[in-house]
Amino acid sequence: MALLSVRDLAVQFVTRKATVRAVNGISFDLEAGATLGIVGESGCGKSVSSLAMLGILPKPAGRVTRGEVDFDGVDLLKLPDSQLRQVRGKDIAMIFQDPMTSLNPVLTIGRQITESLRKHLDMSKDEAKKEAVSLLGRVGIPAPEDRIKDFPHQFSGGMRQRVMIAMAISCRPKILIADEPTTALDVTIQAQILDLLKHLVAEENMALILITHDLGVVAGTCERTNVMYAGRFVESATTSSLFARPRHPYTLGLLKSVPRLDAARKEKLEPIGGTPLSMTQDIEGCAFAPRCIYATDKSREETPELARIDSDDHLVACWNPVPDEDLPHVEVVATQAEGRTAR
Amino acid sequence: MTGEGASELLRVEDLKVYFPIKSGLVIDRHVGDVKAVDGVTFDITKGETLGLVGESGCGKTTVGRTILRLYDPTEGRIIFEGNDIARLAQREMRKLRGRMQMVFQDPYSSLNPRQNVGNLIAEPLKIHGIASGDNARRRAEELLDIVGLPKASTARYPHEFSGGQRQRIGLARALALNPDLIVADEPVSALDVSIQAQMVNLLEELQEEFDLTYLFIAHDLAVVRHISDRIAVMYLGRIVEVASADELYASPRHPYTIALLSAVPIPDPEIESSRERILLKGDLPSPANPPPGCRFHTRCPFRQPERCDTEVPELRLLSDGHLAACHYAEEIKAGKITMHDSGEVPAHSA
Repeated sequence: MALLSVRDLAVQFVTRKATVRAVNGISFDLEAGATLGIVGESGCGKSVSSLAMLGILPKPAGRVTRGEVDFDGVDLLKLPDSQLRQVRGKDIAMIFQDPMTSLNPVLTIGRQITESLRKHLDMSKDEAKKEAVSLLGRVGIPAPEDRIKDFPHQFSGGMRQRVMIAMAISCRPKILIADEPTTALDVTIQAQILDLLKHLVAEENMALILITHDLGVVAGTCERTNVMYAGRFVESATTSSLFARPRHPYTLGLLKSVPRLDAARKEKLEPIGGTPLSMTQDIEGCAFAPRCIYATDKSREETPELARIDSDDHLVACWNPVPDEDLPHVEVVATQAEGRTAR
Repeated sequence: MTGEGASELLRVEDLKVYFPIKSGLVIDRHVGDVKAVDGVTFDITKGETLGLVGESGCGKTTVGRTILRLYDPTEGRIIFEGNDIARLAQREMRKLRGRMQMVFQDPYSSLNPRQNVGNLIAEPLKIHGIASGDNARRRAEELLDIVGLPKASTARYPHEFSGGQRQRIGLARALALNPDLIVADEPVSALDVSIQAQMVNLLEELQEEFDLTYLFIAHDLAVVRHISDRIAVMYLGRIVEVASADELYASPRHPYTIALLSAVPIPDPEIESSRERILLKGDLPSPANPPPGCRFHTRCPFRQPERCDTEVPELRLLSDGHLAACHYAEEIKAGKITMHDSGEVPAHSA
């Protein structure tokens, strides 16, 4: 049985003026130790769906309208707050994009790490402190005994994200949800953090849900990738299959619109035309149809469900999947930057 | 002194921009400087796109803003069409700004929310006394059409537009005075990838149509490589390498460029799994107190015991049009110096 099983989760934000349909029925399973990437552009509902799973949607506007989130045989959506708090931070931990605003600026790093250790694992003050030092060491912070007394502003962005990761893994969670963990960081620091996450997930047998807009980040980190558009998954496949044979026109569009550092330079980029729909309207048919070159009348009338294509592992929600002859062919250019690094 | 090539539009020579650090309650004591830009030299030919890349805090934005004299240079020369504008009085400078315009990163904070789009675009026309009233409005409509927005947008306000559309408005405003040079500071980094591509294409089309010269400042190497003819890489206030876009990618010579290129994730799982990545140790040192010698030596995976920490490497010509500031660029290329452990991230497991 899967560790986490999400079924038909839907989230709305209700205000006096409008109702925003942020998530419109997503389902997925996550096995222990698996790495899942969720990719989509801003406003597609990728962050909101994980907030909903953990019961931390902004109140009172945000509400889960239907669905189940089954974790270890329990539906998290039905748990009372007090019991959900036992799961959150302990079994399922989350790190966010902005490490500055997610740390408390007036408490020392040590105090913030020991808080969850003492609460969830019932450690004494001294035990918790020792554990915190060892955690900071594990995430690659030099001189952890000294740094534990420092405040968040005394750390750089990359170091703060390391602190966040130390906090998240402190109770040995079964699932780590990382929401754009490297978006605010420079590329050399991003490479450090992704490398750290990959190592930790492997060592601890943690499952990882990595939420990002960057296709390059999932390509190097996740075994499986779900592509999200307008609150629904439009494609779900092993990462290698998804990148080799993208079947949803939106996935293909995303891949074609980013310039690749290693590819021969193209004359023009191929953007996806148009802009995403406003999520306040009722969407009839496929939400991507207005921007899609493969759309037919059926696409505009009937909403496609995720269904098997190519193999059992590759699902796509599309009436007219991308045909083989339209798949991109990338001409890779050699660089000496990497060949030289082999020792 | 005018440039040797008649087609040179801008040359920056040994530019330094220091921001003072002050301390004290009653009297402001000058206790140091943040050396945001510390000796930068480059040139841009008319009609070309020069990409300026580097990580946050390396001074790339300060360079862009100082060229337009939004900051005053501490030292150095900014030669625009043969005239040094580094010390020009603000009043003189204002006349010149019609020729050089800027597009900002954040499409939300760079447009006044209380002015309608027509006024936003027409304002530079009015200030420079080029057009007013109906003429200005007609020109604003024409500009909106050029950047791909409906003419009726003039009566609407910035909040009614998406990020990508707002960036188009910013571009229309920059184009209003028919500039020669556009300094584009991270113009696409706030946009979603599908919208980013539309903007990049628009910038390229406009360059062709209006014979524009771009200084394209960004941290996304893949986008910079796509749009630029040449690329300059900055690290901690100095340029470490300059080369044509293809050459820089195919054969980077400075260790920082090598590491930077290897860190960029590539949207292809097969390539990602086989790539060797150079993980730089630690963070960017403080620009208030940069390391002596080569500024990159504290993180350099190829660092040598001599020269690196004592002698500042000059940007020198290695091959045609390819400059790098590394004492050992030749030895590294020949494979005589190999990477050592300091290029790796500190151990995260026992």
